[in-house]
Amino acid sequence: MFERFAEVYIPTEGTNLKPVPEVPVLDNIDRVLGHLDGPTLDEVHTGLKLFDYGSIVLGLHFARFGNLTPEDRTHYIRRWDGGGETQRAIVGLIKKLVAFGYWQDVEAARRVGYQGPVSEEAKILSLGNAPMPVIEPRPETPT
Amino acid sequence: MTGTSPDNAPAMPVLQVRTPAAIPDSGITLDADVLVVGSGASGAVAAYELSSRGAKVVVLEAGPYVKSAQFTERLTQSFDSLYEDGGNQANNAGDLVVLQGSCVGGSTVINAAVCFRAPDAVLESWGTDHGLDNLAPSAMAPYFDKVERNLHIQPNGPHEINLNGRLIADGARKLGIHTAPAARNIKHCALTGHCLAGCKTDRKQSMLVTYLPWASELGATILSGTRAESFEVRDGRITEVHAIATDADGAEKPVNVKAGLVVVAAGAIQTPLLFQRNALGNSSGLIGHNFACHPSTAMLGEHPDDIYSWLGATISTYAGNIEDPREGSYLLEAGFLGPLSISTASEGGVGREYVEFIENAKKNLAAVTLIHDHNVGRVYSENGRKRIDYELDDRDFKSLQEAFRAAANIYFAAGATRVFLPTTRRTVIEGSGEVDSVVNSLENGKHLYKFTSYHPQGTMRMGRDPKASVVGPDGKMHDLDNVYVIDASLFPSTLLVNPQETVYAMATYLSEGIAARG
Repeated sequence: MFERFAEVYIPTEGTNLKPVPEVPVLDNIDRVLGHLDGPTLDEVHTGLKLFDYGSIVLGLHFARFGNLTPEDRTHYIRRWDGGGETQRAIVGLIKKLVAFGYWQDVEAARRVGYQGPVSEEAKILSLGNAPMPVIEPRPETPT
Repeated sequence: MTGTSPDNAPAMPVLQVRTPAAIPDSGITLDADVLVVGSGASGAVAAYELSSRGAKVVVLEAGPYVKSAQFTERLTQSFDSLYEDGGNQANNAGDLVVLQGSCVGGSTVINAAVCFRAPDAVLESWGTDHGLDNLAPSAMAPYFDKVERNLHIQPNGPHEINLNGRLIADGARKLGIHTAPAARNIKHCALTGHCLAGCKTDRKQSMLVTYLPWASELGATILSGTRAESFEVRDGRITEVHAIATDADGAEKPVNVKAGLVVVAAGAIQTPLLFQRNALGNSSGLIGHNFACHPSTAMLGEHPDDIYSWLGATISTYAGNIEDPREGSYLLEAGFLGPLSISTASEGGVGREYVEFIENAKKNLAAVTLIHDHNVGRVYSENGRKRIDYELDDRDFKSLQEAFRAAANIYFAAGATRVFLPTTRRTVIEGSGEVDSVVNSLENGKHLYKFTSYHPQGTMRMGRDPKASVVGPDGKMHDLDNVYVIDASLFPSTLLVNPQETVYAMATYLSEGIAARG
């Protein structure tokens, strides 16, 4: 489902962007989800199922999201963008996860002018710990 | 023990941290004059200030010890290693992410280094409304002076202000809105723009390179990966704290600390949860209440020129009236991060629309909005699950609209051709003539805006009246004789401005009082 979502959310073909299939989007999303506590993860899974099957449940299409044409998938995402609170919450979460999965790739980010990590490449020295402060007369503690 | 800097110049203090791997499976018991729970902005200051007066101090930090050399300058990896809940901590509705550090040094390691003194009007209102005359601006000034010296806090110089910051300041000046360079706790900033992923080259004067090594040098014992869990209480005093150290393999080792005084500095979410879990100190019924958080958004404005808002100081200039926070007050801070943050904090649409939006990311003017929100939230635990009940109050929504209006007008005055609002449904203002109509048409509600909080506050309210507050003016809990709270959970109302400098100053002041009372 995430792969089908990413294909239409970030259609990289014919652009300067790094092709989605070349980025480990799913692995990256798995790592994010790994930080969630059990109940929250259950809620996320419920939301994802609702989105995936919603096209059938809501009577919009006769197929799950993942099986829709790219045009229908785009249309479906836009409907959820403008939907009720629950729909907005779910589609917002999926967009966020896909963005996390895609943009943490350094090369993908560099394609839009973001420099990514620089200090090692530029060999910028660490300043280290700050020296101990000079003890000065202590302010009088107000009562 | 001291180390040497790379050029073998003056010897520098060394931070020694005892990690869970160094604790035997059978656990350890430590004795201390003072146990400090938390190693962030307030805990580190307390550890140093009390150690410098001869106290035997133990610090427990729940998060890991990550040396700056291990920082990757990749935000998502930093979420994994440095942030609470991997950067996924959120309110119950899931429409507000609450970012906090969870590592040795706490949020000071991963913040944008922005420093403001608490506005005088806020400190004065704490005196008027909560009996905290001891925190009057004149009384606190020496403590702000001290932390500004110790942490090298100073306004950004011209070389630190990027095009984004200059254009936003120019736009604000054209509209008569107060603007100035932001102050930061930075020394010789390398301008990499990676503050939120941790400063790899130790330019940011976080607790990791200042107060914690200083405390360590003076003999404080600092344990990482060790979470305080429960208390032994006798005659209104905590006599022992039980903690769990968890190593990389998940093995849990008991850590018990017998201490004369306990100073809790775990932040505005973990501090109330600790006391709630122990059903302690809550005769007022207010522990966990009065949560506020400066809900923030990111405003973007597309400009004809390439701006690269992420290059240079993470936050360079600010705009807004911060001297007299009241309803409708806002603060705009110029600066933002890369395509990941832009994608999650703004709404670029779907498909070709999104691709155009993100390919033009470098053209965006960018600023973070802060508002002076009311303390309407609550932190609590439900079946062991952390819960944050917070929704934007309608009064604060008006402030948010004013922040949007000001940012949009500033952007157009600075030459932007269109402005993107941080709404969950793509909202674009195509010209200055549309600003009022678009902003006025916005409504408050769940999942309508892309909020992030960097500043949780208020859940252990300080005040003189034990029925209306949890902690007294000296930081001591009303219900316990030897327990102090010194973090941002004390704040009776929000600051509007970034709280770290006020936390440092208050922790200095309160620690001096603790030491003076013995």
